[in-house]
Amino acid sequence: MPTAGSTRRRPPPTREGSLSELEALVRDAAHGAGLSWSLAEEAGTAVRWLAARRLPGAVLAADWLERRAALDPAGLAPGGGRGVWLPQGEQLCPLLAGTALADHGRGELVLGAVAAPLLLAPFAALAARARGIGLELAWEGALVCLAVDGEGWRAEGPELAVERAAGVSLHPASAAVQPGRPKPVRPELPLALWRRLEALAARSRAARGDSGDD
Amino acid sequence: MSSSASVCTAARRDPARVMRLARLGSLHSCRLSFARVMLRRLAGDGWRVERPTWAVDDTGAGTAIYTARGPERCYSLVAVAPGDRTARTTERRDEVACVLVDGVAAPDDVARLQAAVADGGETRLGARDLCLVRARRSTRLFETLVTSLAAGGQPELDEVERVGYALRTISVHASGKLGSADRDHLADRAEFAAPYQVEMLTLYLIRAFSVDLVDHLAARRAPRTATALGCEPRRRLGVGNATGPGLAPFFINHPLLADRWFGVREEALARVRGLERATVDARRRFHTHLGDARAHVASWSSTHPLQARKIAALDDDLARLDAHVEAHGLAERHPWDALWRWGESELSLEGQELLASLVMDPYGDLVDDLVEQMAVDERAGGRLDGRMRVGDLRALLGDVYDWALAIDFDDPDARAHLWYADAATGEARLAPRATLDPELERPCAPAYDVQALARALDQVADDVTVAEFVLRRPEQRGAVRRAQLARRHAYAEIRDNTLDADLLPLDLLRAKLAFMGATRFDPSSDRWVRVTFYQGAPLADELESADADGWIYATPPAAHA
Repeated sequence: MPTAGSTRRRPPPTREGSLSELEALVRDAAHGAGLSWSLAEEAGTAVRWLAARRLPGAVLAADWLERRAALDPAGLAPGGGRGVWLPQGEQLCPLLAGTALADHGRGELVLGAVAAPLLLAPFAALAARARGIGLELAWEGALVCLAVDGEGWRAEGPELAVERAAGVSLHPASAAVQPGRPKPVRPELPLALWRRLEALAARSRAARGDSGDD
Repeated sequence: MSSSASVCTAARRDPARVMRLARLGSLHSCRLSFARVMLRRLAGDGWRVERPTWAVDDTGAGTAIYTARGPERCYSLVAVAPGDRTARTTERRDEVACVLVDGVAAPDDVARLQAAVADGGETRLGARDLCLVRARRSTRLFETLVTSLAAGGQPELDEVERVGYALRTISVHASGKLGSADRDHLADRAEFAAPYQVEMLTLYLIRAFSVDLVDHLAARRAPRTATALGCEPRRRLGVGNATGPGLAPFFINHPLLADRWFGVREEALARVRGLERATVDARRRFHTHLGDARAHVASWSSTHPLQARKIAALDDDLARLDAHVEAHGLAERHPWDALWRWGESELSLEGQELLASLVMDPYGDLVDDLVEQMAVDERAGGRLDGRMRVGDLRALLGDVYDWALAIDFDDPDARAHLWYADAATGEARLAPRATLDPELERPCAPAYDVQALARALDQVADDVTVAEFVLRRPEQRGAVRRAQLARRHAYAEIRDNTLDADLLPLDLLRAKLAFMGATRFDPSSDRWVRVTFYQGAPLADELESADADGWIYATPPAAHA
């Protein structure tokens, strides 16, 4: 046990992995946390998009999935008028709001309180590609710019990884963002985070014997 | 973007005829299969295989490295065998773990991989590790081979032919599994542009290792009398593989790949059928392949009653095909189309699908370019079109999924099974519905899902947008997206009920394995099938002079007699 005032604290152990295993794990974790397979699949894709850009999607998803399990799903979906989406409960689920804004191909939208708003970014990227324009997502202390191809991005601000934003706006980008896919990366995440996702994923799997043979 | 954008669509078979489980379960390898694509590349681009390290003791324990060198890059197979002394169990003693590493394998790679694949720990691969294959010695053949060679003799060719391998793979992990490199990392490499080329290179190198291991153990056992395995039996050894339900939902989970692979195969067949004349050379090659195929089928056996019956029917099919070609020749106009039409009316499904493979075989120049279309970026297919109106979606379902909407899911037999993921491996498994928590069911039944979607749409007005509909029913997103995709991709869906009591997962496995290039399908149950890869293929030291395509059904001279 390190004692107070001892030398620098050792960083928690991490584990490197692949983007495709992270995607599959988040998908199973999301279903384990109660999401339908349809949404779970999109959660996996979204976290992969973020992790491929070294954005902290995996930890935000794990936090949100764990918190979400205790909430009434009916309160998490967006309602309200055409240009303003408000939560029916305390906050919007970023996966429900994100898929909806991608489906609608929205280029301009005001959202009420959103949990883990960074998780909206991959869906806004889909909307940007569908509309053929650059888009910006903004909330207090953070700005994410999405290129017209749905691949290029720029993210800045101290509150990118905030667990809840009081309001989020989506609007056409004021300046162009460089398009293009990022170079392939290897996600290196805290081992404890992999384990949390694995624990959620285990709820969507079954231990039964159907062994192989030769 | 349709998969058929760059391809002529004339005379492709109707997807409603092709995409049926019974036909999928009768598919054969063809020249577009991935093992053959890899071998053509190895031979055509002058790849060389070296063995820089051989540190194996007289029990088979130790490490070997094989390096395949191509025009631009090289890849190394690191084979780690625990052997008698270090393995924890007898079963493990017969196992070997093989990792394909990007580039040259350095000593620290070997130490790293030895630790990674050791008993007891969690297996984790790194950024340069492309594929891990665990393989086991064949209980039927491995020891027989070593014993014969140690005594200075050669094994019975018939037995080698019948079993077909000394090592059988028990698991294959690549494309990011267990932390291995993602496909994105290899995206710009020509040698891995076609699907499953990493796995196929790995298997080819394991085949070389398996032969060396047999020779080595025989020599260590009886240094004075032992001889090396002869050329012919070496060629007759491929790599075995046993595949189970984990692979079965592949085409269901990857509708874009299904569309592309089946579409490309149909296109190849259509191109050949469209030929006005068959050259003398093409006819000669067809005859050779047909003769080889007959010998191959004659030596193909299965203990599974269903497959045994199919093989017997196929044997009969080929005899009649041979007689028909003998009697009618191939000299008239549109000879392949005429032969095809005859085959469709006269042959079993196995016979028809083998005929499809056979008529493509003489026509590399005409069809091999299609391989380039078989790799698909599935991410490009994905976004749900939310602007579509519910009325149009309803019409689309009636149009594309008429076969699915006709299934009576109130009949318990129509929902007898449930697909779930195994806790230990994450792989797909099948269970009787009543035995598992329904929450664990995975969406592997498009027909059922589409019916559920149609019901969910029942009370929704025609002019509501799909975006609004899925906002209220987010659990229907997957089915909506799939239906929109199936409208644009004719071969995306298998048009049968994958929950039915009569479902044979074998049919799904067979199709996947045929695209991979497997031969000698030998089901050991309704869910597991044994196959062989590379049996008869040129050896690593024959690549330069080899016929990279003439081997697929080639049988040793003895079997022709």
